[in-house]
Amino acid sequence: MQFVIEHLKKGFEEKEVLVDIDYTFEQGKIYGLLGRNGAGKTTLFNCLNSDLNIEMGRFYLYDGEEHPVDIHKIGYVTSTPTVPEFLTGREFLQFFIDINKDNIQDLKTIDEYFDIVGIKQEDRDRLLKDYSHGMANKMQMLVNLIYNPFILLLDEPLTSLDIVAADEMKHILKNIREDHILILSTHIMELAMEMCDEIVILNHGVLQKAERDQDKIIAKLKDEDYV
Amino acid sequence: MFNTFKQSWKLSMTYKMNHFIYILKNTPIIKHMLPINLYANKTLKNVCTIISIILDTVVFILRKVLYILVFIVLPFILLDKPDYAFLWVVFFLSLVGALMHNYDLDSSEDKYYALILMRMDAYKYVMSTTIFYMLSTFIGFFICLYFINDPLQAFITSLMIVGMKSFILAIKIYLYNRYNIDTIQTGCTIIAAILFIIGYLTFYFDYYLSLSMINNISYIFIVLGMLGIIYLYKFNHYLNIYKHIFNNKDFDVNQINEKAYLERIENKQVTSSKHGFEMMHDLFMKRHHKALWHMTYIKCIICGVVACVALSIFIFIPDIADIIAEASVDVVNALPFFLFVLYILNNTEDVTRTMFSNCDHSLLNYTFYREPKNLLHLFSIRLKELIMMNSTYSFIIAIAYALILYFCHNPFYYSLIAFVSIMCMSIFFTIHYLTLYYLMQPFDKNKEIVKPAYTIVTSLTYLFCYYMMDLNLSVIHFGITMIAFDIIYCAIACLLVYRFSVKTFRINS
Repeated sequence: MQFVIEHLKKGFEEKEVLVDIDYTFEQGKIYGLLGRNGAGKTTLFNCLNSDLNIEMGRFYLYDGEEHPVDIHKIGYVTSTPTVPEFLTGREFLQFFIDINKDNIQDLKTIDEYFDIVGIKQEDRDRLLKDYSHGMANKMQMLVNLIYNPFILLLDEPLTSLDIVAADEMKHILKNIREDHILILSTHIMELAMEMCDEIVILNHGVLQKAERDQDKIIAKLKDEDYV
Repeated sequence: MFNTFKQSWKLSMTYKMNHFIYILKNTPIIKHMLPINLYANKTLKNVCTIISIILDTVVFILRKVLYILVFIVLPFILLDKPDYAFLWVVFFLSLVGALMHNYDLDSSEDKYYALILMRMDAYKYVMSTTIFYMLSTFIGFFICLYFINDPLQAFITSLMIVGMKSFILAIKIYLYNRYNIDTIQTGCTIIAAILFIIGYLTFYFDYYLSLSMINNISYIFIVLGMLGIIYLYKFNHYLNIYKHIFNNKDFDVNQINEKAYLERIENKQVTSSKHGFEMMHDLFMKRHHKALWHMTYIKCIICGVVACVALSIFIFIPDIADIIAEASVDVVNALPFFLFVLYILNNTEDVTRTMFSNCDHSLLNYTFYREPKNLLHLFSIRLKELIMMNSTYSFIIAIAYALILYFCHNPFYYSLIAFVSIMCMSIFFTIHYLTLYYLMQPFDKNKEIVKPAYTIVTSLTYLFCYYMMDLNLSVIHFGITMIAFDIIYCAIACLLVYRFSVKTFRINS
């Protein structure tokens, strides 16, 4: 299955942020989305997640036939974790599983899910408002893993995770990539090189595949060959 | 120093202008008529600056006039006192004002940006703004007092007020530099409250000083004020004080709001036997029980007490109905008044803010939460809860008014219509605000209202209810119209939520 974006365009007043986004993402790969600050990475994610209306273009899934990308098929892990502060970690998972149990495959127990992301026993029944940034990040990731959308957009996913948690998260993402399309935006070149099968650059409102060469990527982002 | 004042004034003006432009750019219809890069339009900003200066000046004078009318002239007219006695009240009120007011020693974003980020000279900033404030206070009071007293007395009194403010400000600065600012301000508030009560009580019971004694005290404060100004002039640790203020109180209004809403979550062991969205809502209400239900209980108690008193009068004074009729008090046509009462009492707007702050702002990021069936399911759960919450005190009001109508020898169906109408009004406001929340989702990630259209609609709601308050319309006509309107409105509101909330109920990027 492929995720196809065709001539997607989005601007804010006179500023064209996404000029002509045209790219095909393949299942089974982790894509690293690189771009300078203000390039439009988050805007692109918001458009794909239907949080923003696009001006032109379309996107769809393709396996010989076109399929719409409905909200079940796409998940968005934001850079700042957003979890409902008034629930405990356990209640949040319970609530989530109750709502989505018909769509969850291979349903595990709540404690098993906590074990996947390494949330300790003593933290599982604490209010989410008392969770650290890293723990809230893990919860957000966990919920998306349980929901298991085909396309997962990850906005700076490993920021503020400790070294061990970041390593665990990398393993999780690598394990699930076979049945998904993972698009990961990051500013950390080494992470993109290590984790991603393909590097994509968002520059001047267009997506371009980049070679796995740090110097060439930087040169491209600096517009050293831009006309 | 004048340059510093000019720069800080320009900065504050720029904030106001940009905020105004932001509102225009987000107002439906108007936003499409505006040029794209309005923030760069210097002509518009200059015009708006001039308008703002004129408005600020007018408002400043009006506030002084209103203050004097309400707090000084009105008590003076209601109680028969000698002419000079109002100066006694002025003296105490000025003390209260000086203790309560922090002038520029409060935390705000523009001060933080000016003093910390842009490194404006704190000494020059405080000096220039304090001088401006004292001058404008003197001029404002002199103009107002000139019309109710002789010019010399107005001059002495205005100078006394400024002297008092300068002296107390100097004491505050001295204390802020040594002790906890919040503690000092709390102490000032308590003292101010005591002085406020003493001032009016002594005025009421004729325990005030003679005019010459009052003027002598004024002279003392003028001298103390000069000493205060000298201290303020010589003090040069204003930046330290501001750093304490910014550390002690979050200058970021968004952080204040976020903290305030998070503090509403009660960290207690609760369970729920429900599932899915019912469970989530149940836990939300249980963990916010105090914040959301506390005020409702208070409203019920107050309404209950008022209702009991009113009904007791009718029970123990059987002729009261005739007395009321003779006094031409129109009880029968008072139904529109309750529209405003129920508008004031309805808490749905506050509850939706809490819902957004502590629940929806995070969960709206998850696709499952935004699925149409889930959105509508949660909407219906919330609607039932809020109707029930607001129906508690509405029921008391409705029953009391229905009984009063009955005791005033009106037919039974008057009472029935009145009861149903009041309950419908309560339901109307609940649906109205919840629908606005779902159709406009006016809050941004910082939990501030960013949709001017929402503000416009809520303001119009207030104006409409306020206008209705004074209307005398019969129970029959108004009551039946209200019931019919509520039924139609509720049906339309639910339909609109069903059709559009999937697109509208989302995080404002």
